[in-house]
Amino acid sequence: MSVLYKLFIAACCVAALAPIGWHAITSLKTSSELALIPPTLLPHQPTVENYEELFRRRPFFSYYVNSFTIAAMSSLVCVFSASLAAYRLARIRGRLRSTIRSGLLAVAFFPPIIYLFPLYEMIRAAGLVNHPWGLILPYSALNLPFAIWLLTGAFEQIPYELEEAAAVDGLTRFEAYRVVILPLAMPAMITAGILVFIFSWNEFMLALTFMNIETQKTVTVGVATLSGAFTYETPWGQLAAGVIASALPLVLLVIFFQRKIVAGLTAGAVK
Amino acid sequence: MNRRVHIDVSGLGWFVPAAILLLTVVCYPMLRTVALSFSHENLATGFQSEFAGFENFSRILIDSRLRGSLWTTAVFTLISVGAEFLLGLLLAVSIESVRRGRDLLRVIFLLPWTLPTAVIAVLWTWIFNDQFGILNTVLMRLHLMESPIPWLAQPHTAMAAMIVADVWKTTPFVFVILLAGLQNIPQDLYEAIEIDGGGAWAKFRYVTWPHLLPFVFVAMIFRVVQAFAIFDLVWVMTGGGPGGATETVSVYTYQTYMRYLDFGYGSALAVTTVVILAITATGLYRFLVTKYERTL
Amino acid sequence: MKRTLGRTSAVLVIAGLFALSVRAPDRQDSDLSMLMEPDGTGVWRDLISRFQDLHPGIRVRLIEGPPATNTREDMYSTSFLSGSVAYDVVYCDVIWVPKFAAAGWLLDLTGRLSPEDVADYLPADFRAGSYRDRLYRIPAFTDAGVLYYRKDLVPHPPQTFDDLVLLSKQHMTNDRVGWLWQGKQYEGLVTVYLEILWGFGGDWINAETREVLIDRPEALQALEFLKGTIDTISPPAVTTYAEEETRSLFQNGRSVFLRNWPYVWTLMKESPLRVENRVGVAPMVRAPGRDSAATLGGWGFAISRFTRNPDAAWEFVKFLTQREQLRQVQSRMGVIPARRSLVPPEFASIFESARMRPPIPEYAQASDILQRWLSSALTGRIDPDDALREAARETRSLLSP
Repeated sequence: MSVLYKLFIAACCVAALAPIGWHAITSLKTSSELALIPPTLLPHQPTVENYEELFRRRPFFSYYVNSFTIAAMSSLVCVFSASLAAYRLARIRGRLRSTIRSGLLAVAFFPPIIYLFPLYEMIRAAGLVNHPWGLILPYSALNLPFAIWLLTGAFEQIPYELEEAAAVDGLTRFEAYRVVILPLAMPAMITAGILVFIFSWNEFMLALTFMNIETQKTVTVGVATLSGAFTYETPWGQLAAGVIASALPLVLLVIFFQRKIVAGLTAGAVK
Repeated sequence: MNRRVHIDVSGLGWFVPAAILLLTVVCYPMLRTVALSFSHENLATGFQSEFAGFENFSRILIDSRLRGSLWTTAVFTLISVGAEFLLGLLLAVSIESVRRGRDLLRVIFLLPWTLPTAVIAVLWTWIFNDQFGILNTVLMRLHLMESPIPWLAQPHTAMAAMIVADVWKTTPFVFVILLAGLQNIPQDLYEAIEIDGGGAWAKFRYVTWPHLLPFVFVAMIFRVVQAFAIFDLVWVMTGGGPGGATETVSVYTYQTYMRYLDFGYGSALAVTTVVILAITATGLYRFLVTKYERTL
Repeated sequence: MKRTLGRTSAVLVIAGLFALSVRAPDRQDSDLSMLMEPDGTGVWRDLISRFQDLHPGIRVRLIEGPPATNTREDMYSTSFLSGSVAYDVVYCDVIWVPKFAAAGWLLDLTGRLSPEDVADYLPADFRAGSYRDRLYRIPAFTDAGVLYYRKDLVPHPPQTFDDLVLLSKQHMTNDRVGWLWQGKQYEGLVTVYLEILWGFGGDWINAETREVLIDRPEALQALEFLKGTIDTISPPAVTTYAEEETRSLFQNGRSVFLRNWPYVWTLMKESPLRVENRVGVAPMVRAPGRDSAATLGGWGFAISRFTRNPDAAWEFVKFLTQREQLRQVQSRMGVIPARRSLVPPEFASIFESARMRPPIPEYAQASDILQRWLSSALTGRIDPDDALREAARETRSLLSP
């Protein structure tokens, strides 16, 4: 029985990695090799020309800077606001707390299409179309329910006695929070930060609508809307390079933070 | 004691940053969408807002394209979520038999989930390409078919391709949650079943499944809601084609807003979608809760 | 010590991030931007280069977009909706004019052309660049549906629908079908259907009164005619064909008749059929007593209302639409300029009487409705009768308020 399980796991590993691996291979092939039917397995003459073309034809470097800036700032703003609210929420007694917590999660269930257009109107009125903060503010807000949910759970674990001791020591509530509580909640905050970063990096609908100047686009939108200079053929080599290039930062994130990511996802389930 | 009273009163200040963000980005836009759904605001009105009462909604009642997209969305959600749960459960159960290398496995399995859905759509479009796609090549090499299938050019195969891409991306999510559930189950319960002479199936039915239910519950609600709202995958992979066969309700609504510039009607579509989703989610919730209570 | 170091670097990182996030968008290093289809032949790049030589102070950037027309339309829409200056000059399809003009996104160009210039443009194209009597788009290239026929098999082209069917049946073989047209669910299908519809004397939408006419008897006749050709004189797969598939098949001698656009004529220049004078061009067939109809297509140049350089943009548009420049594009891409003086004689009369699709702002949506129902009827999913009735109902609902 255990052998079957192991086989299944092996099959799933292949299923998870093969598509990405195939794109890595594709991205290293020349365009003439890509035109061969049936496709070759390994590149005959590996080349980085696809990556060169990618960074030359499109402002891919700008895409990276944009994505990184927006995702990182969103993460900071979101976790900052969420931690304050979550801390306060964790200190509310009784059923009110779980009601608010569930209410917040309900907000996260609304499909983004319901606030897309008015949000667009507001961002446009504020002159933030094609500006990073036009996405940072929405992303921070949209990830708040999840972040608050996560952090409330973490703050609940911290015993109330610590604040009482701090109060006895003469610290104000906010000082107690900053000096005593926050360091203890730091692991959870980093987890929340990483997940919000990933969600912001991956977001598509808002980024597609709010950024229409090429140099302001995010990596996700840039890759998805990559178009060729060929009337009938799509530049698959470049597209594959784009997929790999856009996946790389996330792959690194997963490698370094996989435990935290898993912890963050399951925190919600393990009520 | 004085201090505590003072602290509790200023307690609301902690919520201010979060409240400002949520009110401006979520609450106000949602209310405005609802308001817009009762107005005409489009090219014909010169983008001025005119009160329309229920006119948009009576138009929705005869909108065959909405019905079509709702059906497509429902089919997609059902099959996708079903497949994810089967796979996720199998994977979670299988991984128990692996002692070492869990970290590496976690990285490998998390990878699809961390990639942007829009990029995954590009990824699978290439794999499903009729001439150069690796899938057709492999299937033909294995002699499972004779001529290449134009996956994305036919309605049913395009839907299948989309579902495969979605299942690839989100099974890790289900897997992670179900695994957490599995790890919560006390071992002695399994031993009790063994003592009573029960085999693997009995263990699953009487111990594993009841304990997993709350986790299945949580993951399922999340996934159903997300699958229903799917946009990125459809937009990038098929654009709703061929001929609108894979058009989901979010895509139709987005088109109505951004291509037809019919903001009032688009808002009515969005509101309708949310109402239907709320009814479905509540129904699902009630169903799962009663099922859970019955297995306790 | 370690803690302050950690804290300082954290603050620096955050400060750096913040600075990055509030930086002004990269300054556009050009004065004018234009979004185009992919410039496969490089002719547009050459024209821009020439323009910049003549006007040293103006820099123009060509943005190559996707080949799909709808996608470029959406890119323009999204950009205009936000009021951003992503594109200054619009390479404008004929069916975008009412929408963009009604939305107030285009500069009013009325009165900027001299009377002789105006007279040189084909009337339909000129009208198509206007909305509510104001000019918004200067025509560049024209297009209209035509019937290609095998002169060696059929010396005189058919005039009526019945003629077409008869001649098709006479000359069909195992390798050769009778008539090829575009039946896929897309804008092309609408252009084909309209020619049949107008050929029967019917109409789709009256743009003045916004009246919907698609459930009248002529519309049903037209749809039934088209449906009747499937699997008789046209192959069943015709409902999946767009322009290129049908051109390819006809050029390889696999059909007696072809309905397509004039570009095929140019692209066939080297092919044996044309070289041996075995193919001819004629107006589309129609019902007895009715006029032949050709759906008007074509491209032109408009100027965004949000441009920061309206004068430079106008100079650029004037330059591109001069005879010399249009002739260059014509020779390299095969498209036909909208100027009477440059239209090849075999197409002259067809272009003079080309008909516009309804110039309503909601055109995109009306077309999508019609496409869906036509396609459903043609693929047998629903009766033509019901299809047209539903299409009419949805279209009326769209146009009523």
